[in-house]
Amino acid sequence: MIENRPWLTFLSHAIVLLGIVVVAFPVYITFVASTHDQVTLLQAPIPMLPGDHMVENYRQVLFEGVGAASAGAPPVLLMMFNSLIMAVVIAVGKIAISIIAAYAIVYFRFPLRMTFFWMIFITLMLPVEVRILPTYEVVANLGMLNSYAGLTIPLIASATATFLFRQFFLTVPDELTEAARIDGAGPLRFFWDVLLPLSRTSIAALFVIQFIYGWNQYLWPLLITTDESYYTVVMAISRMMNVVDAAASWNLVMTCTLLAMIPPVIVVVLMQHWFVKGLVETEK
Amino acid sequence: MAGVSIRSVKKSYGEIEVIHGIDCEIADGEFIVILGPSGCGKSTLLRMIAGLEEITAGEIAIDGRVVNDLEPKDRDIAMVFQNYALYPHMTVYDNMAYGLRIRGMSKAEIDMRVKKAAAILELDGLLARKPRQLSGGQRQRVAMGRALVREPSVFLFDEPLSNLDAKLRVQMRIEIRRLHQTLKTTSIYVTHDQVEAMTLADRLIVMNAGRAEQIGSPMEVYARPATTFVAGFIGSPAMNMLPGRLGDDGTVEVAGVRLPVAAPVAGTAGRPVTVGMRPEHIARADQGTRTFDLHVDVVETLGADTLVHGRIGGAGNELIVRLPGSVTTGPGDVVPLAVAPQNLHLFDAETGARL
Repeated sequence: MIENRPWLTFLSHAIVLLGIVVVAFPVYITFVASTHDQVTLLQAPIPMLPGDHMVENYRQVLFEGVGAASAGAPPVLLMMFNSLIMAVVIAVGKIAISIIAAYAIVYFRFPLRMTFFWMIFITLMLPVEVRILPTYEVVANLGMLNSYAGLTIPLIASATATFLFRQFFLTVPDELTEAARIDGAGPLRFFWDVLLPLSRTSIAALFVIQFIYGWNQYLWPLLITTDESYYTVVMAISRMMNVVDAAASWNLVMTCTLLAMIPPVIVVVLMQHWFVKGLVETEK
Repeated sequence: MAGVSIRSVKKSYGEIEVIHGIDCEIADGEFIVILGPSGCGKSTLLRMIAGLEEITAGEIAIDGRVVNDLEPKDRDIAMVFQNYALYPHMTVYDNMAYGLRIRGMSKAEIDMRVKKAAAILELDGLLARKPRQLSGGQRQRVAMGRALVREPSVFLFDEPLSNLDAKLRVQMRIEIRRLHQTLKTTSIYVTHDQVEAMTLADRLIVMNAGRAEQIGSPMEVYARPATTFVAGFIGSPAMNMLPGRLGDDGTVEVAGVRLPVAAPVAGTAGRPVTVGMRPEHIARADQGTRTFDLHVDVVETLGADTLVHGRIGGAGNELIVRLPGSVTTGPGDVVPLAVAPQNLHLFDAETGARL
């Protein structure tokens, strides 16, 4: 459709720009705040332009922690490392487990197949928060508090991913399976040589979604970590704001926030090509 | 290379029996076409030979070895699918080499076989491409190449040409025929297209509703159809079928007209029969030699031929006649026609079996 209406063009651009400003402004403020010292930020008005404490703030946050006043959080670098482990293990684990589960459900006839499928499917309706207390109990009894295993394993089971892979496998033509059987590929070869390469784009899309899901976990790490060397960056941010008997170091909190935003952005930017492909098209 | 024996093979899905017992001995090097309308069980039969469907009852043997319980890969067969079933993420070369690699063949041997198949099928320049970069005909060739490199004892084709356009289909049909003449590998080919069936087959199996109606060479099936189903299925336009009665003097009465029969049929006079006449076997006649008149309804001009639709002896007895293109006639005309006695096919009115 070709249109030549200057006002409409102007209006649509204006709306887009407005949208960008609304989304980007808080991020900008975060950036600006992360470049000032604590005193400047506590006075009104808050500055709109970057200050000159950037290097100092980032160095302090990354390597020394937010300071004695901030609930004893460890250096952000360590917390980011924890978050990264958590996000990657959850994403990879979820994909690995659910693709295998979906393969079993779609390609094998075994007793109670549909029962298992519906059991998995029904758990879709239960978010982490609903089952968090029983899960905590189990993890505590297994002695997995304050460990990477405790941070990740309970979050790996994923009905969503299983369901998505199942739907994808159902669209793979039966003839492909039959051709592989005639070629002599057993179940594992078929999975490895045919199904896995075909699922590449779905895997990429799920990885992005699950990485961000894992990175943004807040409640779960808050519950099961008491040892600060297992703190994750997202939960630590809120701890930094709740300081008793002292002013919050907003400059450092903002620095930390900005750092916490970077890895998900990197993942999205690197994988966006695959991500979009995985959501819109199936390569067959 | 090997023959295939199909011995009273049946297939049921649960309670429902879809194939009611088929027997056929396929000789080494023979090209067999299984022909039938959709839903007649022809693909199911092929898939049982391939090992993709379980055999409910009966036996299938390839090269004298009963294969009922063998996996497809152990049956020494190769199959070409209707929608090609190429691995979309592999190149043409890998698609053809995949089965050989699984068998643990040496790299040099694989390379040699793939190159050879590619040369036969004129795929030389396309080996590095992915299936989606190929046209329908090229994909079909790759699918055949994948079967070819295996050097199996039996080729199975499941409607391989039905996804191609008409021109390509003719071309590929000839290529398949040529390939079979070179390789002389036993082939079983499923189709619903009678032209494909007639041109490719050494022998046809005409199937209907899970039964083999007739097994024979294309000419046999055309000239002596065993049932009314086969008679109506083979030939285009379809054979004319008219209700008739046996006369007492070696004739048959159709629509009030007495026609002489070449070979007298056993049975009492007045026995109801179905009389078949192929449109191409009915000719225009002079007043002297004519046997009946056709009241023309519709004329279809095809150039070389003219198809004349009309009635004989009143309503209901519709007839199609293929006359030479030079014949001019129009709706409302009355055309005198004649049919040779040896071109009359008589079938039992109830069972449809040839008399």
